[in-house]
Amino acid sequence: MLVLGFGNTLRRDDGVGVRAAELLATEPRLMRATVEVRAGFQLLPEMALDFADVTLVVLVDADLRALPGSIELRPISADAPDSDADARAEPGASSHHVGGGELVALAAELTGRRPEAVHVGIGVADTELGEGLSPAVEAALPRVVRVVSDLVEQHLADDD
Amino acid sequence: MSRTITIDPVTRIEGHSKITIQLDERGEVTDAHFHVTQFRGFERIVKGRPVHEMPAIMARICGICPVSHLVASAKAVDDILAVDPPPTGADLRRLINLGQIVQSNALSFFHLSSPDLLFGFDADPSKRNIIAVAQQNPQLAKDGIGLRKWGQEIIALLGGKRIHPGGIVPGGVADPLQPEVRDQILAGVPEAIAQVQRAIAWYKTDMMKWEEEASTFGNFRSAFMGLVDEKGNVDHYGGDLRIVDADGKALVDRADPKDFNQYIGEAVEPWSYLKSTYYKPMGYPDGIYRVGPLARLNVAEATGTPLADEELQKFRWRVGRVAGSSFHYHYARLIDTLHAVEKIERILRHPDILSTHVKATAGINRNEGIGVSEAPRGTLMHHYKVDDNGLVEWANLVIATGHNNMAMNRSVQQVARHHVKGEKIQEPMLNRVEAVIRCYDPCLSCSTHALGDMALDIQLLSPDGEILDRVRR
Repeated sequence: MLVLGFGNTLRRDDGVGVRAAELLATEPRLMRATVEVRAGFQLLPEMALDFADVTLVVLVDADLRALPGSIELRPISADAPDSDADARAEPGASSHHVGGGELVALAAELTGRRPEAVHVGIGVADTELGEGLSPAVEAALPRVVRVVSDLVEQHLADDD
Repeated sequence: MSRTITIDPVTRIEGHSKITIQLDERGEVTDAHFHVTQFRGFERIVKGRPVHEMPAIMARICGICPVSHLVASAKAVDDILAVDPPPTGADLRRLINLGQIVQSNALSFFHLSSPDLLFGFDADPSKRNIIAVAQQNPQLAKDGIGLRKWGQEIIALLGGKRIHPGGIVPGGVADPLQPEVRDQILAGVPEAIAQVQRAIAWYKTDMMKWEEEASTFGNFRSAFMGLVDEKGNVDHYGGDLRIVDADGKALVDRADPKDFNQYIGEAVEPWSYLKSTYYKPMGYPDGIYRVGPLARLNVAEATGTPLADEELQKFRWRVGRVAGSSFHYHYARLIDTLHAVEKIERILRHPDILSTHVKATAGINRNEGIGVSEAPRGTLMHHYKVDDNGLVEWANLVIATGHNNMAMNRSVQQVARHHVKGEKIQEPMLNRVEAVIRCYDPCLSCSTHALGDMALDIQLLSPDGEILDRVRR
């Protein structure tokens, strides 16, 4: 399983995915050989190959449309947009905003393997230049850790 | 009555921009501009920060080319410390910079531009993406992703992580190279060479199809700038600054890159946050020049590695000693990548590469420093001023996309004049106007540190601002 938190930590709340990944990396419930937690700036095309190697991908990201601090889970598929960028652009319209759905589709095209994928969107308040999260988003982090850990454990139980 | 076509923002480039095309009453293109619409605040953010922190901060400008900023920034701090990294430290910096060249060039060619080249500029937009490339030509898609992954692994192995890596510090690099890391990178060299060579073979087979685009995509006379080594060959890390004119005659040769301010000026236009740089002796706006893979090949005698030089010879046979069309950035980018892979192997096979002397240390010895290196998109300059305690008082970044700004504008004008017909916005014209920008692979994250929104919004406006036609996708 791959848990990937991404965003820009120099655009305040846009970095919530990265901050969440840092916490998830030390979460005892995720300390398993089959779970990899990563933090990153953005999704990138070659991650399709990483997607193909796992059965579950959890993407933790800022959600510009949701209420600050709220958490929304959405399943990702090649046909279902999972982010603002996916919702507006054609598949593959940008490397800068490559979407989870696009990576799932690319993994399937290149390897024939298609993981289950979930987008965990966290509502943000402030994406101006600067460091640190707004209070509402900072307060949401423990819930994000709980939600993602539940997701992973549920997936493990389903596999068993 | 004149008309303006606005393409806002441009898709498949890094960051935010829009394009406006001005028409006269007969529907003929009179002017065109490539606008960068977000403000980059990095020079302000770093004021008051200790200069030793600069490389780590600057690497966060961009998720695509963090290493480029890391390298140029570390070199600028070296200058302030008045130190030269030990030779092995410098070579390890070269190595990570070349890994960056490989992965970023692969992103540009395979992910951003190959859909246009594979399906054509008139193809359905929904087909022009990497997933469709994977369906139509799986080998091409696999090679692109594999090459990028290898470049990213080099960065991760040497810098600790793929995005915003560390490793490079003022005075050299943080840690010596371990034998197992060297061997791991070397093991990937044969496949990386095969991947680039397959792409070059495919490109050369297909390039004749794009003769019209090659003649109209930024095909004009300009100067070119890049770094060259002591033999006049391509140098991505250091060496001397060379500027040649459209005929290949050296305008500036054997120049210390730290003296770039003698040759390069910066102009500001009210319609863009991206500065326009120009060759000072020719003035603004006549002093137009280009940087990046095409410029690197145009200014250099050779690349200095055998396989890339073989391809460079064929490149020059096909497009001339000094290639004038920006369409040839694609071809040049592949040769640049092949050279980078060969150079990575050469550096790793040097017996001193495992030396433990990789870092020089010093305090603040100067109040001003300049660092220059070749980023994937072209020559990158970091210029800092610090107080006696080493706190940053002033910083200026001259980025590759800024060097190419005037050339991109002229290219948009040229394409628009050739392809814009009437007042209606049509897909083939749209994609060609965007595609000419993609030739330069501009990085607007570097330009502005943008937060992304990549929808396409095209407006046809009257002089009083009335929207006459609008297309979104």
